[in-house]
Amino acid sequence: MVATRTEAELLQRHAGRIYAYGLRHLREGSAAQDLVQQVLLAVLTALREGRVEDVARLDAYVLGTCRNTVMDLRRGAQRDRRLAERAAAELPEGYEPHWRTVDRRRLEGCLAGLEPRDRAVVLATFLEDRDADEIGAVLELTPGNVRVIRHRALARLQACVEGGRA
Amino acid sequence: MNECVAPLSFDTLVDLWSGSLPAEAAAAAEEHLFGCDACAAASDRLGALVAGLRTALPPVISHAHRDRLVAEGARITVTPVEPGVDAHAVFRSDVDLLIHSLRAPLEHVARLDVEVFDAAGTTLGQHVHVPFDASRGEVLIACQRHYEDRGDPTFRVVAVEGTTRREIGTYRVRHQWR
Repeated sequence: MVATRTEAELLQRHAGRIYAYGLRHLREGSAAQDLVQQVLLAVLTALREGRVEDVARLDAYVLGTCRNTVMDLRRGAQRDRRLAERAAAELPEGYEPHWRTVDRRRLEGCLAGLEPRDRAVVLATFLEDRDADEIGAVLELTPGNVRVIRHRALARLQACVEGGRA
Repeated sequence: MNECVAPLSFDTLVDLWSGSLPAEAAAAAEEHLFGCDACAAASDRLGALVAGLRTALPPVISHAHRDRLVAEGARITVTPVEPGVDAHAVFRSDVDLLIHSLRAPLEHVARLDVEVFDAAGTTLGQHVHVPFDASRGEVLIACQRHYEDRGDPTFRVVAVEGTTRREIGTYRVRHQWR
């Protein structure tokens, strides 16, 4: 599939946002990548067939397509790999999201530099998928305190990871 | 890049990425991110950190985490470690990760902390509220290859009951790296 310049810009602009949406709602990078392919192909096809009513509000159209696709994926017991592969094959080159990754060793060092309680909150949130109520019950904190600790800890981690102060 | 008139705060982005934003606020934030280059860039920076945290491997891991690693194909060697008895673990070249299974009576323990020391007794890390399996009497330590230069560690496992700290045991693992 050959993309026009406008289409190429569309792909470039939205691929990362769709990937981020996928990471938030589907968690796994591979699932997020599949979402990118399926959503971009659906949006591109809709554009070419003139089914996007208000092109000026394409952002909202893309988000809506993300929401519907994630719901479809959740309804199905398994992600349809074949659908994603077909979408990938039909998309023009260069659609891949430019997603940065953090250096794992540096992140480990930055985590080790957190206060033990702050580290426990961060790990319980993102590794064990615990919500603030559950974490608060274990750590004897209010859910509000858990959120404050999480905000502070992530700000420190981000500064450490990006600033190299591991 | 379009100009952002109402940027999402860092705290809002953290709440969004941790799934703790109420549904309506989350939907509004998502909508904003799809239309705002500056906020999308800030969100992506945080997202990269969150993605890293989701695959992080802390020194003390839960049994569920170990099971996920196994399901993902990690090659793991488990070494049972009894308190006060030196255990021996070989980090072979065909192994991705060592797991030291610290054995302890953990019935009725609500909170467990683990302190890690190097051979000279210097503290390498303090881990509070670590995951453990009380019924199996196990705490799992994940040992990665790049720990090689830290020497043989000692783990002190402490049960915390209110303001009282009670030592459960001290564990040492001697490593061979191949």
